[in-house]
Amino acid sequence: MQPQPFTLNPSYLAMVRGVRELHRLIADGKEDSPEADAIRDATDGPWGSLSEIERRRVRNLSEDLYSLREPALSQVPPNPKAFSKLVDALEARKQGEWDRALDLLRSWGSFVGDPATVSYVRGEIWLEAGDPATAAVFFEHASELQAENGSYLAMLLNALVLSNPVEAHRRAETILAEPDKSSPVVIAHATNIVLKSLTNASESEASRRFRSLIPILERTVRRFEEEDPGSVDRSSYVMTIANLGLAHEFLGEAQLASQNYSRGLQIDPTNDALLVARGMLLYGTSARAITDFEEAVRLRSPVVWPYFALAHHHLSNSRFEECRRFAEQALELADSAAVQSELYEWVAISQSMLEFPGETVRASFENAIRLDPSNERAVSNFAKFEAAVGRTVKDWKIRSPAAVRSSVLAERRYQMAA
Amino acid sequence: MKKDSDGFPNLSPTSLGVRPVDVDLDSANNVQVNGKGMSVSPRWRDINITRVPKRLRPKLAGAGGSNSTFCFRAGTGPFEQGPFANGLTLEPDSATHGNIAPEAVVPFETYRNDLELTRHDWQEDES
Repeated sequence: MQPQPFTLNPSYLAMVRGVRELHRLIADGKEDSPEADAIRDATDGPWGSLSEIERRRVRNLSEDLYSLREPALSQVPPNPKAFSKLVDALEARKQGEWDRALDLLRSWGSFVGDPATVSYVRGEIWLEAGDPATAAVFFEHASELQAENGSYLAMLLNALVLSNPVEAHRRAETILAEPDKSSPVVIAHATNIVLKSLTNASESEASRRFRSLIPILERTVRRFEEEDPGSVDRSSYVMTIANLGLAHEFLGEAQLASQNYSRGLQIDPTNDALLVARGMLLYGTSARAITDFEEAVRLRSPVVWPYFALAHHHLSNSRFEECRRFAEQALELADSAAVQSELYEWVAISQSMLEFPGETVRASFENAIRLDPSNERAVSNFAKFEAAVGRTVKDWKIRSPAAVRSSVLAERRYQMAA
Repeated sequence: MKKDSDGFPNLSPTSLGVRPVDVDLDSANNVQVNGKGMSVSPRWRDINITRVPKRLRPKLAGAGGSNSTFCFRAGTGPFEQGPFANGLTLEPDSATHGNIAPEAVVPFETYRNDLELTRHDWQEDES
């Protein structure tokens, strides 16, 4: 059975948030402060609504938060039995038995002799159980104990992206202000956060920021390459190269973008995002684009573009059944009305050429026009279909590959910095 | 609740007592009879974990309350609806929580005085 996250109802979330905040105050010696009393008042109601399982979970979380400040855990000599219990905890986590995994760590964690690892595993459990805000507390503790381990700080950034994006961005900017002070893994995640935050920036601001990040990304790629190949964090390495490609793509530097996507694919040939990105840059100019899209589809890419591009490619080459199939797959992933409209238009053309019943073809054209009344090409093609009255239409209006490439790249840019 | 030097609960809105926000008042400042009142539980282990004094952690994991507060018990009867003391009733709203409420519509001050008069019925109980 697929591991299920904790049930996060509002009372439970309020209680967990209250416990986290109370522990922050306790750590600051403010357990008797008005702020602490305000938390106690605010959590009486939520506490009353919790199930016994949730109450136990909250009590145990509170206990685990106490353990973060208990002294000299790292001084405890490692205990072999504790290691086997740590393995049990990891196995329970793998099975989605979050409470059991946390119970094992609570009972045996202090005997492992490595509090940073224990906190890291706790953070991973809370993250996988659907509570990134609590995960962040444990990742932060792990990171404080072993500042030299970039993976802990990277996981903290990831948890903050999900739970407190403003704080994640603040920390990412702080890290990027002095990039050589952090490990490449941390820089990879920090740049990723800043790039994603540009969705709210103006185009000029986004361009300026992309431009300023390129040297940092290039330097980080070099630092990854200087690491021992056996220990390099491959996913962070590839993410950095992909973001370098993205920055060049956003700035209109297609060749540099394509080179970086290819470089990333040499390291991770099954990275569907890179395949789609490169395919889109090459569409209409190289047959490689089609093989990239086909590979992305084979990898079940969750983005619309490879299906969209392949539908267009087959339509342009009069392979209507293939066009219809890819267009219908793309429709399941498309969230833009304009894209959906064009896909319905291609479905309608394919249906017409495959001699589907007139009503079916008509319904597809009507969907296309309803979704995007400004789609004049669909209106024109629909008119041709109606005028043909049983004859085969031979002069459908279909966009060129170059036009499709330009619009998709513009759409990707818009998504990057809309 | 906070404890006075004689070992009995301190009389204050957040110890043995109530705040206006804990009940519903009418325009004449009378407490309404609707089950609201001073919050209680059948066992100290049932109360909000952020209120159980920290020193009780060995008995209850995660206790996060102030060590300047104490758990008190009044009476030994079942935790069920019924008279509690003069002018007061116990009104459970779940198996683990209830309120000591006024038995009739009374001025807020009367309700508060009735609660204060129970002071010597409460014994510290953290067992």
